[in-house]
Amino acid sequence: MDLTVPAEDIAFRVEIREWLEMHKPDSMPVLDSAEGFAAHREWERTLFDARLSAVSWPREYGGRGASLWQWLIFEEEYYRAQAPVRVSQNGLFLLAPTLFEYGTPEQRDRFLLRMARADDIWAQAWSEPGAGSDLASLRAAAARVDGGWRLNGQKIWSTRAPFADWCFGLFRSDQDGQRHRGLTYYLVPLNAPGVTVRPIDQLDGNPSFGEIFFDDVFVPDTDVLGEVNGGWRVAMATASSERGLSLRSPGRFLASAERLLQLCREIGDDAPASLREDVAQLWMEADAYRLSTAKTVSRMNDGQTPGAEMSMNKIFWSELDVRLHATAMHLLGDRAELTPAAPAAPGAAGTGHWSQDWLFSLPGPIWGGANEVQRTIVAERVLGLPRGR
Amino acid sequence: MRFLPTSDQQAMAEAVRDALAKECTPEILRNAGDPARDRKIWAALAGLGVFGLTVPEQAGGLGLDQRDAVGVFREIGRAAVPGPVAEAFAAGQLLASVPDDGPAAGWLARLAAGDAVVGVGLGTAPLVESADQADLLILQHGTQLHAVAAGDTRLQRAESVDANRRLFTVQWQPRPGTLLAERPEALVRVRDHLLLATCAELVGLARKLLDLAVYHVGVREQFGRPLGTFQAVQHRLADVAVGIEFAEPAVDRAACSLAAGAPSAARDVAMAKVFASQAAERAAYSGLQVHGAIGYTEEHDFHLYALRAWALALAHGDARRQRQRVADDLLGANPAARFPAG
Repeated sequence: MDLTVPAEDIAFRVEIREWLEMHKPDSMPVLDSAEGFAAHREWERTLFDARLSAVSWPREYGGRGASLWQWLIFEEEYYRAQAPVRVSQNGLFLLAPTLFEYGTPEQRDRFLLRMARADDIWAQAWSEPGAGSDLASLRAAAARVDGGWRLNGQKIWSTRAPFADWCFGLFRSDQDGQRHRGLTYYLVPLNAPGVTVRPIDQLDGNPSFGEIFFDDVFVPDTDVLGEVNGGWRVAMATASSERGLSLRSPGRFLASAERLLQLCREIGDDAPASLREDVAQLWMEADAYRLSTAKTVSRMNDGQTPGAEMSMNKIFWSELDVRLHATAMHLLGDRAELTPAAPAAPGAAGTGHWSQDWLFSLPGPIWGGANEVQRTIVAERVLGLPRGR
Repeated sequence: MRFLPTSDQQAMAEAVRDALAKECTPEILRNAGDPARDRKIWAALAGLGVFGLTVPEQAGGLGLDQRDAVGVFREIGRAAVPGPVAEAFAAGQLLASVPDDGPAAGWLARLAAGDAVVGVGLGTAPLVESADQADLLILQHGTQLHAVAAGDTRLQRAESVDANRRLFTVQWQPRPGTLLAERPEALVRVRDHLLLATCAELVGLARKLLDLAVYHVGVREQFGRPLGTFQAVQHRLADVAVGIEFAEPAVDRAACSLAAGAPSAARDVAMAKVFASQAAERAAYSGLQVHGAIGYTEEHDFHLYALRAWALALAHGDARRQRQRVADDLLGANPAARFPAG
């Protein structure tokens, strides 16, 4: 066990911190709007120009070949600086690891650089009206045609879809295939003929969700990711990224935990002692998540691939996030419900921020596979309990 | 940077595990109250160098550090080894840090070889493990630490719910000749190392309790199917697994902090105790629940590990007290920087 941080990683952290201080925009429009998308896309290009939009990727795709440790450092500094939310995150953190694992060289060349530069913003297309937690019951269909496929069906709860350029998702390519069999992973431009996107306002008032209708949409063979009828395995690689390291690096929770400490200090003696204990507990949990991630990265550097144990991660970080933000709301008391728009918000920066982040934390235990499903995965595939269904 | 045990650390832990699988079986643990039994287990550990693990080589130890000890103490916890083994680790750390000419002169080498039993009692009215078997007791008086020959104290047995814990209250008089150290750092050193070893034991106990529960719900059938197929049971045990998964790195980090002399070491140890205690308490309670009535008997092995888990979770500062210490540091004037830096 060696937790000595090498000199080059310390230098990397300093570089990132200074760069963000110099370049981070002071304010940004709300992401899920035409204006917000344009501004966030522009910010991604600024990151890209400094080779910071995907630091761990190879140089040929716009990265700088940084180690996993350095990627974690980048994330810590990014959240510490409260830099803008990553409009490209579905692509960068979910699709890209899957492309690196299953994509053809031609697909990597075609998609990755454009993704790193935010030329293409990606949305997920997994859930359907009848297939949520039970993703394998999905019914959207892909039919074989000359040179490719025709997609028909409906996807829903597709984050970023109202303004995104492409989507990735599973369709049933073999109508005789049951459940996990007979599914294929497709990459589909959202401006393709036959695609209709209907925005859905989320609980926070922003149209972050989309419902996508596919009406005889043609997809060429070159936009199939992985094997035909082998899409479930490919999708599980994406899901593993969503539950684990890739989408939810510790930096996010470390930064929130530091802000929670700061809030507790500001409120001082007005905070009940029990809330001070909660604050300490949540700071420690964020730190424990960081340490657990250091183990995961060490295993990956040893050549191991994270598997079902990523479900433990997802349970841990999502429930930590909810409790962390709920604790902030309790610290703020009757001012907690105010949004940044409220003129009377005390310490407006902090207060406005917390209510939005609290709302955002609430669905964490749902998306990426509901935590009830994750607990079953842990029980059956990590602990080896007999299957329950 | 590689936050995993080295192959040497793994090999050492496996050697201890293999030895204890023979020397500290549940059948042996059932024979509580026999000091000769305890000495036989300690001798097996001494043969592997466990008592001298972090003792400098010139004093006859292996000269390793805290990071090498955590894996060993996980196995000691997993087997619910009786006696003052964590105490010996803490005492060794202390004795190696004071001049070898005071009241404890020569004891470090004897401790390292497993020839002397050293007990440790911190706080104002400590319960000292196996004090009646100890040759030397290290006891706190104010901020001082004293090394007292066991024969110069009056001991009274204090029975624990865990029959394999052999606790005593100690009456003694501090004398100038018994003074071992009076710098507060010495006290912190003993306390933090006692906590670290206890944390590692708790993680090992938690894993053992989870193993027992997983086995039981796999074979026990009700309503025509194994208990482990019921989602309520599955999710309960999944939560136990999550608790252990995130406690273990906290304990390992505390070892790294102590080894590096990090300014955050005391807080990191306190944090480790919070997570290790919570994980072990959850493993014991949920394990009891899924075992049903058989878990609440002496006939089943479960109690041998569950009672130890509960006792150690509460010993040396429970999760709530340790959390309070962490809160005091984090919300105080000068919180220690995170280790490793970030």
